[in-house]
Amino acid sequence: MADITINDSMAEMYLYETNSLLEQLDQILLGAEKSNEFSEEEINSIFRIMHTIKGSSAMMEFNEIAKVAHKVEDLFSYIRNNGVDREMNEDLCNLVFQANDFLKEEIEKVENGEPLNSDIAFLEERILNFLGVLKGETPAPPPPPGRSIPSPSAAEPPAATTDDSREVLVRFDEGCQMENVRAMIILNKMREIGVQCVSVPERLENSEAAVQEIITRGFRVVLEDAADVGKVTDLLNNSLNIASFTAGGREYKLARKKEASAIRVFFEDGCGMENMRAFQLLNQVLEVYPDIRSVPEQLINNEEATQQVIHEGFLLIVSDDGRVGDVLGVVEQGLHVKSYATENWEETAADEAPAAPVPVSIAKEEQSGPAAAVAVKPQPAVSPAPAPESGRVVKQNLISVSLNKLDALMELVGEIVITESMVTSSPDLQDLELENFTKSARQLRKLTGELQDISMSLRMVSVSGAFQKMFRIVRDMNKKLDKDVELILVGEETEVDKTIVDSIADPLMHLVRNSMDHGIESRADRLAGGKPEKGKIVLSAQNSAGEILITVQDDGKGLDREVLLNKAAEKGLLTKSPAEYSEKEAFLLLLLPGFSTKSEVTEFSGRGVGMDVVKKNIEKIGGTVTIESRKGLGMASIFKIPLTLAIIDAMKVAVGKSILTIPINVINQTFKCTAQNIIEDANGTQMVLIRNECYPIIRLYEALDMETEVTDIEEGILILVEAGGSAACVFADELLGQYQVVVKPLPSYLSSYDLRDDGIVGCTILGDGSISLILEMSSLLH
Amino acid sequence: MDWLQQAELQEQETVVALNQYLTFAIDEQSFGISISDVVEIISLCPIAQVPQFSGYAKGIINLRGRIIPVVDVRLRFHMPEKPYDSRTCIIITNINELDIGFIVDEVQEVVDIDQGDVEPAPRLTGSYAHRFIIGVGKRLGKMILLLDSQRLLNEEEVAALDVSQM
Repeated sequence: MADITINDSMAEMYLYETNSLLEQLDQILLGAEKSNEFSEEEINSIFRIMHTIKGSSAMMEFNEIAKVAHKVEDLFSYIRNNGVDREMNEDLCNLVFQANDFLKEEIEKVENGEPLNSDIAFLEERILNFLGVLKGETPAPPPPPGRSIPSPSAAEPPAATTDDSREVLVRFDEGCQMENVRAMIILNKMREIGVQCVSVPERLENSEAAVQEIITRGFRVVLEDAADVGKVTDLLNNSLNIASFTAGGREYKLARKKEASAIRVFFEDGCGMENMRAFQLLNQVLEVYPDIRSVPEQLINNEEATQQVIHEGFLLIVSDDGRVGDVLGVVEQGLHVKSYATENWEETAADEAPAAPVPVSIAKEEQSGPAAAVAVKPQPAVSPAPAPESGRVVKQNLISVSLNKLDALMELVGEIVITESMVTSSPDLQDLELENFTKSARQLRKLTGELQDISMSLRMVSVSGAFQKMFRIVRDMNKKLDKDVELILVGEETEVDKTIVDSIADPLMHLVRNSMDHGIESRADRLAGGKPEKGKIVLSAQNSAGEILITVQDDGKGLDREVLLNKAAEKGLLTKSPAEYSEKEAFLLLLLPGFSTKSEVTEFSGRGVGMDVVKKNIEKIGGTVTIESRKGLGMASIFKIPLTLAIIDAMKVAVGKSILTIPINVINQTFKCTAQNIIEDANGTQMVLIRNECYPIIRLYEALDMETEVTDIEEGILILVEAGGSAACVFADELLGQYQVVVKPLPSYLSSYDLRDDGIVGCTILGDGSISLILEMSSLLH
Repeated sequence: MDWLQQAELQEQETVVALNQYLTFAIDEQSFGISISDVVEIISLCPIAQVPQFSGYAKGIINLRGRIIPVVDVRLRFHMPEKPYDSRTCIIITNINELDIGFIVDEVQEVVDIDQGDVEPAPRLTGSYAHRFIIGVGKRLGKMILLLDSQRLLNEEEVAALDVSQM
């Protein structure tokens, strides 16, 4: 069992990387399932993903995760070489989805510091079985068609050993790792050039035993035809990592080719985890140039390697001179690479003599001067390895920063903005003619404004991550519920604050599930209702005036006011007589805790916890939920969320000695009012009539228990606010104007006071250093 | 100086700090609060009222951009309120990783009180303030009531604090 006593930053990096890889895997699988085909690139990507997860998990000593990843990697290594039948695609998808889910669960456990699941036998077995089926049913067609491998039998290899001339014995370099895979590659290459042969051990992929056998006894290939020996000798002479081989009774010791080039890479001083960085770099290089070798070779879990990388640099050995440029391209883009140099590499020499190294410093000259001349060779379009996808290139320009640091930065910038206005509007400066000061102050204001914008944009990420996850849910539910629903994304590139993306993920999931489960009818019902059989769920995001609108819309059966009201009455959730409920209000019943329209509880929904969680989560980030529906045509849930949580436009109002802040987005209008406009109902509640609508009056000094001298309705000011589906007029002493304020959370000491229920969500520091409380209207109105 | 000696010396210093108390006065009576809880002492600054606060919590203050709740120690001890004057101070403390300010009549000094000079707290007398006392320190013939800073936030608050810190 892996104990979680690992270096934190390492664990964070691991989690971040693995999570994004798994998400990528989900995307690939969904794509493959949709087209019902695994393209070569997709298979390669899955292989790469699993390879990386295997490597990094092993390094973190999450052995179970590594094992599962290894199994999947093996599976795909087989598929990569032999292809997969179309009929198997669905099973393959399901299997990999299952493995993916398992890995995700485990990673989540790692995140939460829980013990990992050590029972992976079931999954392993499934993968093995599948691999077995693949092999059994599709007798691995080698590229030259028409030839079939002689069926493996235990009797054959011993028989073959008698004939030395047909036997080839290959010994790999010591410690070159993955001997079985290397053996496979050789075997495949042989078949490619038309050599028919049987290998010992027969079963290569996926087998520790094979690795051991190859290491101890060498990899034996028995050729069908002794005449092929010449071809094989040529091939082996040009293969990598082979120490020696015997063919046709002769032993060849491989003298290394002298034309190999080596790239010596130094990482930034003190960047830490040099071995892991080298490993990552190696993986990146592998994508453009698979035949790369590295010194030190064993990077993972090897302190010595770290030291070597630090002191002597990390050597990448490229045997093919023509490809050095490709590899350099990757190295140049690599993270934390301080400098690199190319040199000639002579394998046989014990001490590699760096012949005329050309050091290139990345930090100083990006792509100019001699550096460009060495490093930037045009990328040949004819590279046999999959060209780096455009996504890759973008990724290397990103760095991941801890959210805490960003928060600290944001806070600091907020302070600077406030302090700036404190300085420039200092009372000491009033009535002074300060031409130069005003000039500089204006410049400062401009710069702080920009600083603020940029620091805000740092936290902005696109919502596509949260949206993309829904594909998986729709896919799973389509299968389970036998529905045919298509998910359409609109505006997924819209950028919002990171916290918002995190908080909308759950609500979106609930809504999509609801739509899938209750919203969209079964295929038969849809056809009967004259709708296309295929249902549609549209997820959209758009910016509108400082707010982001996120809509989940389906073309299902929509909401029925009567059903909603009956159900609510049954559960005792109605607060007034059913007839009084407007359609909008009836829809909002859905959001009440304990309300569920579906009688039976299904796996996906029906427990009635979904929608109120949606509402809570959205309100937590200062947003509102509204529901629209046309009976028979579908429904839409709309989230209105402020773009950022940290800085809001707000109106300052005075009540007694205190200054309160009301977010501008809930204010409809402000007005003075005369006594005759006030209506009083039997309970003494005061109402005001505006444009033939009656609004209750909430006196802030009463609601918040404050002292003020302004209690006469004609002296103060009324502010019409609308939030959370209801509206009211708020009475305050006077308006102090509109400002941008930086929202600060209240100290946690105050959390015992349920201030949120009283409509106080935070506070802000005003220009003069005093504190103003920020009111949240929707809870104040209720 | 040898680093080992230095480390030892530092250790001694922390031990010393355990015996150091910041004393403040309320109605001529001296109270002591462990210096290790104290962050700084500031003069009275504008306090923003927060509705629904219990009476002794006066509100929140802005300490260089940090929002810190303040508690009036007089009210916490169920003593009559007294108008603030120029000697009124706020002692900013950090208890369980939580910043909180205590408004006191007057800050006196930092004193060393040996453990031997600390008597256990007397049994509850009539005064509400004694609920917060963990011991009585004697110094130069004067009594200093030593406060348990944990108890200044009441049990419920301490519990709430634990939850919010999770």
